[in-house]
Amino acid sequence: MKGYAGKYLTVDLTRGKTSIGRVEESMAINYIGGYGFGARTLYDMLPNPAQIDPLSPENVLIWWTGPLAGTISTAGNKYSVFAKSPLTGIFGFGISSGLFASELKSAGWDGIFFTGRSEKPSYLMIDDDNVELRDASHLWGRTTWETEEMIKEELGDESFTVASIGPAGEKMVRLANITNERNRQVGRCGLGAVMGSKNLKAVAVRGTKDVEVFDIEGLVRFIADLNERCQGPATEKYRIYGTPANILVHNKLGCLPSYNFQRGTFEYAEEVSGEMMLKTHVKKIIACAGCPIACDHVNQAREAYEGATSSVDYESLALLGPNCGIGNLDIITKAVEICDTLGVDTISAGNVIGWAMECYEKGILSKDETDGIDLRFGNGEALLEALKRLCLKEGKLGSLLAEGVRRASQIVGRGSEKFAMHCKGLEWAAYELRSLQTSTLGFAVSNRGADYLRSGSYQVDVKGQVDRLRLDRSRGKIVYDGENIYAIIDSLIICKFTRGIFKSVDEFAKLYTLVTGLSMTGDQIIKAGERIHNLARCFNVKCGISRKDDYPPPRAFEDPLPDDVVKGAVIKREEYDEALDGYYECRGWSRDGIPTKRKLLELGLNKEAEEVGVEA
Amino acid sequence: MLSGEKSLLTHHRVVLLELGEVQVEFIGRFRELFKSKNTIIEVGSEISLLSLLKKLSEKAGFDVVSHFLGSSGEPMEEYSLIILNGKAVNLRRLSEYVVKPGDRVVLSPSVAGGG
Amino acid sequence: MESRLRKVIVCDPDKCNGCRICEYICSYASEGVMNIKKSRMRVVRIEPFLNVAVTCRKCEDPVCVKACPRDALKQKPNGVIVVDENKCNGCGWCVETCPFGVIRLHLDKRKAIICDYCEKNGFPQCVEYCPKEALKYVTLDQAARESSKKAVKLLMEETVIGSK
Repeated sequence: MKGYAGKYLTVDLTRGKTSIGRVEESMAINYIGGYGFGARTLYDMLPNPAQIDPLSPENVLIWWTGPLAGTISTAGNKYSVFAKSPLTGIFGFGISSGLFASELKSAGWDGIFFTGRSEKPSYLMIDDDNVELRDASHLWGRTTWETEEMIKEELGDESFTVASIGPAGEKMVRLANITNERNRQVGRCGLGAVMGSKNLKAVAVRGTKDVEVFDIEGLVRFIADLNERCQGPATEKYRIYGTPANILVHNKLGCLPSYNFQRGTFEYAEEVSGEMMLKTHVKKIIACAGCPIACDHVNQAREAYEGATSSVDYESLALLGPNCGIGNLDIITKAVEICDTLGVDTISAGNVIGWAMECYEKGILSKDETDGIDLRFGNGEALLEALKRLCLKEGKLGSLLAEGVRRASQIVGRGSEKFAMHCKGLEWAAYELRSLQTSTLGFAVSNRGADYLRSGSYQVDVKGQVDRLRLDRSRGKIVYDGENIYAIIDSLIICKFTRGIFKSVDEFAKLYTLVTGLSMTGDQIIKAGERIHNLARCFNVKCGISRKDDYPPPRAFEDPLPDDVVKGAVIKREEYDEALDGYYECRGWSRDGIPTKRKLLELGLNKEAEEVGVEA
Repeated sequence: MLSGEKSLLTHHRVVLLELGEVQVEFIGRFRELFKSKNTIIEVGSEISLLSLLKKLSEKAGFDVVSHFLGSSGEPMEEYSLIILNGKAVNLRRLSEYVVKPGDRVVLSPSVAGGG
Repeated sequence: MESRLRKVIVCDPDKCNGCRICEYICSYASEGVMNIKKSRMRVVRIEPFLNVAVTCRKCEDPVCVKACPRDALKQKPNGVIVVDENKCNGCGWCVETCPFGVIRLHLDKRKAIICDYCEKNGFPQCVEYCPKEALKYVTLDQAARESSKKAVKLLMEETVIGSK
């Protein structure tokens, strides 16, 4: 088979030993790559995940590219990282893009597994077949951006690509991410903390080998067509304003979370809109390797924050902006820079600080508990200070926020759990819960926790294809279909911004076959998507997940939205139950949300049927 | 929102109602196209959303409908979005929606997300 | 061919976003493989804002040709530099002297490789595949005229029209 390098590297950090594993053809066909490979290997490597402390040496850290990495495939240079998440305690997973995946494949590797824990700070250097664990003592404490520069300098070649953690990951902040090429992150689930727990500061990789493609001429022709489509109307929104275009649209629809999800509109939306940002702050739009769209809007802050530079997307903008009551792009640009350099996920950070601000305003957190910070909504200096302390686990406030919103609210108690906006411990992203109810179902059943990236189910809500202020049984099917397709997108790994340019799933299969030479139909690849999703759910079931965990936070049911356009919107519990039933039915799971033996056997997941599956 | 601002908005709506007018707001690309954040369209008593778009086309001097429907009438949902009184419109049924004086219409690029 | 009629590949740094599609397609066009390390085009990213793709400039009286101790490099009348693989011994002197750093030694063959402007494809494929039309295949005079236009437009917008 082509496309794949055909082998992965295992690094035993405790013993400092490496070994090589083979990627079999059956693995390739059944699990495609990325998400699928991650689900398969995490399930196999952690047979008793409930017993594993995510920050102990027993956890594993798995990196996979997909079959397309290293080729000219449209927006197809992406890699994924997996572990049991220290934030959620379940299937932890994140995807990043940039050149890293291309270099890794070109070096001859599909993936890397890290086990154990290095005695002292180390980083892994991969230079084609030459693999070396190197001392990282001098890098410990450095920001992600400094680390990249220093490693390139040390290895004497700019063409090394570096993925690293910042001080937050070193200190095992549960929101810590992994950064490559400054602006690209494996953002969610706290995988940077797992890296930190293993004393692994970075991975630097350089590859010089050809990536073999089955039908290279056919691939180049197909990509020319796809790339052409990427200049059409379906992707315009990403190219011009980038995802921040969502701010005003969401504001008009009453689904822009503000003030820790107390509201669905924001009075300073214009000030932080994509339109405004492009005019006043965007200095350059850049692209990931092999991407014809280019969505990455790099901002330069002004005035008091002059010199701050960061890549600002919708989620970062909305969570660190409106959700914290901030209507100022300079502060937001600085806030994102703090997150990116010190190494935490902007979504989770903006969410947990929004929660802390609500606690503070309600008198649940005293000024003593915030270490003297006046943590009111809209206080930009307070946001920046709280962020720094979160990243460095400084003081009472920093240590509290570093735990993520679920744990922090459990520590604080006093009713603050009611407005801790998460599902399964993962902080809710910037899609309002009550005014986008299909989206909420999609978030809540996701394998990662509150996740906007697993089904795209918000699309039917915002396009007016369903009544977004109600739920019914039929929404289950929408989420189910979305999840299966997204599982494929995340396994091939291609950027979701291209999903509008593929005419059907047959084109995903075509792309797969052109690159790998393995025959694949649209139906088969969708089946693989379903298999992958079920496998990750099985891992979660082993961690104790069931129906009880597939619900949005109490605010969704208890606090009607106050905003004009969606006044009184709230989720009715019986409607939600019904929609969830509808979802489980499509999935072929029990009413308690556990995959049935029958469904698992149908998908060829025999081992899982035995270990996890229930009778119908 | 400031209470003064709110009453101003309510007042604005009453004026629109009396004059038989609809306010159309623009987001993203539509701001560039119309070179404005909003405009007022006279509708008399009520008209269909499709007719409103046609009136807008006359006023603007370009085909507004073509930003929502493709050449064979298919909705271009990945591209554009219409919000009528806070609700997204199903582009397949443009002629079925009724727009009345005082209504608020927003022309917007479609929602982008999910990298 | 008169040198003023020679077309070169130029890159507009305002449009170039560092996507490297030119590098991927170049490795295919030149060698039939996917490997950006075999590209004759080089994308330079200087954080945080600068992205430019550079390749052979078809210099007048090129220093690489003069530098080669084995006379392996020749410039054709259309400006393209050709490498005689039988003469080249991979000393890399040309790599070092090229003021733009766009000559490499082939990873496997260890011979100098230089952009040949896709002579066998008829048209530079990097230009063809550039999704943002940042790359252009033009004479230097044309490129300069474009630059003047852009500079004047920007200046006028700021001063005369005052719309910025």
